[in-house]
Amino acid sequence: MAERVPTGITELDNMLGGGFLPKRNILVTGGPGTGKTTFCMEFLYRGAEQFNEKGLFVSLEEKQDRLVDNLSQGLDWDLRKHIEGGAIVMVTVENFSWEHLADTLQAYITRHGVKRVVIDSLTLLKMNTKDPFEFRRNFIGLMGFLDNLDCTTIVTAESNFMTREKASYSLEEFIVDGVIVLYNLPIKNERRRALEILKMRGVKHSNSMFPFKITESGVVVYQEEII
Amino acid sequence: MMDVHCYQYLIGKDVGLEKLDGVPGLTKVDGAKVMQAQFGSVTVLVFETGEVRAFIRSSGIEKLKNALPAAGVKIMGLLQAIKAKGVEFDENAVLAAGKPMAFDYLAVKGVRPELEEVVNLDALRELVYAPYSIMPEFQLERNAVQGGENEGRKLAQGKQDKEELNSAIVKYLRDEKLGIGKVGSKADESGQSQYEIQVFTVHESAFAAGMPVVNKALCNFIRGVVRGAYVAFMELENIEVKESHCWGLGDTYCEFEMRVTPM
Ligand SMILES: Nc1ncnc2c1ncn2[C@@H]1O[C@H](COP(=O)(O)OP(=O)(O)O)[C@@H](O)[C@H]1O
Ligand SMILES: [Mg+2]
Repeated sequence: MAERVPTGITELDNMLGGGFLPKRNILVTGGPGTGKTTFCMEFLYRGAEQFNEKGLFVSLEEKQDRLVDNLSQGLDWDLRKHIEGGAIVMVTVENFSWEHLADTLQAYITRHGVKRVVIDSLTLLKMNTKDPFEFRRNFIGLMGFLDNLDCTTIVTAESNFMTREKASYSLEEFIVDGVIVLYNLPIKNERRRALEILKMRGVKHSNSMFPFKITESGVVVYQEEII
Repeated sequence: MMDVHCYQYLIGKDVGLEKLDGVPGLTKVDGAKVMQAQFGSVTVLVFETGEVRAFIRSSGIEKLKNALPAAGVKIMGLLQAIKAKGVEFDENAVLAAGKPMAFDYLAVKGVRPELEEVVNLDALRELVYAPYSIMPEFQLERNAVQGGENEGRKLAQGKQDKEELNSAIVKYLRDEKLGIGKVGSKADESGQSQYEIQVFTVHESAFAAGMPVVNKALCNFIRGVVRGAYVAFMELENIEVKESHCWGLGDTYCEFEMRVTPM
């Protein structure tokens, strides 16, 4: 079996045959509040806590303190311990520039041994790049550049579709190696979270949507109850 | 590379640049024996040696085909204006003999009055720009930044203060014939940092002097040198170096701003 990078989310790892393939770029997409940021932070948290892998969280949305405060609300993880210990590096990229983002990634991956990278979110990168052609060129370039480095990357993207039927596919989804879609579906009088592996190059996976919950210990996926 | 096409026209004799004052659209390039004109997507450089280079930006070969006749008209107009200033030549013949130049082979005469004698710019540019036709631009830029950072980090060794570090950067650029640097500083107006912004002005950049406007800063290596030096000196990674001015952006010098970004 090929070497895997476990997400640490047990059921998801089982569904992926152990985790992501190493060095791949994964897109996590979904509407607001679907749990993208939480999911990505769990990838880094589990990396530091269970697998002794260094993580880098590049936030384009929220400042480090706010982000960690928000995440610490409902979760019983000791994120600060890992941040202070250097196992999780938090970077806020303000005054966004592609060069600065690439400089930062290159430095942490090649010189500080970071193995897990999160870029949250691509939507902000897109909004900060006026010319769509420029965005395309830089995004494709960045993904190609990360392919050659020894790290597994998750980028998030905001999508406005709420249900599976309305899904529309964009360039980003074609460029990356894997796409995970998070949903917060209105079912009767409540919303229910669901996760779908839309694509995962090199991995056999189910095409179903699986319910998940955000609990105190993080994301829990239920493999048996198919929505 | 970058969808820029270069055409070369040879007037065949020296044109005194001072004579060309007042040719419509033609402006003097500071500190260089060259004049520049911008007609939409066409950049024209007129060298003292009588060489005229037109850089035409276009996205794709179809657009280039459309752009060429218009560019030809502009260049013809410019040649006629030069002739009207008393430079004797046959503008029709010069225009007809114009030929495309490989963008990765740019002999740069006169744009580096101080440094050009001492470095083989042709070879350097060939090394830097020729791979653009076979390797992804993004990756090449990363390689250049990384190369620069490695050099910059060495410069930080044993430096006591910022002034000493800045002098080492300027000396390195000069010794390697990469450019003539000058350091200044300004307040960080974004108010996000307690540190001042360090400003490195570089004339005669080996990577950019005389290059056409490609809407892109070209001196990734120098940017890396400055970043690497400061990263190692301050022992911080949150150092942003931005090339705010460059020939590639339409300037006639290059400028780098170094700031410490908030974490
Ligand atoms: N322990 C928890 N229990 C229940 N809900 C939670 C818990 N932790 C976070 N949430 C909720 O899950 C949502 C996830 O937000 P977030 O990860 O920021 O989503 P996104 O990045 O997709 O916008 C938020 O609405 C948050 O209130
Ligand atoms: Mg989020």
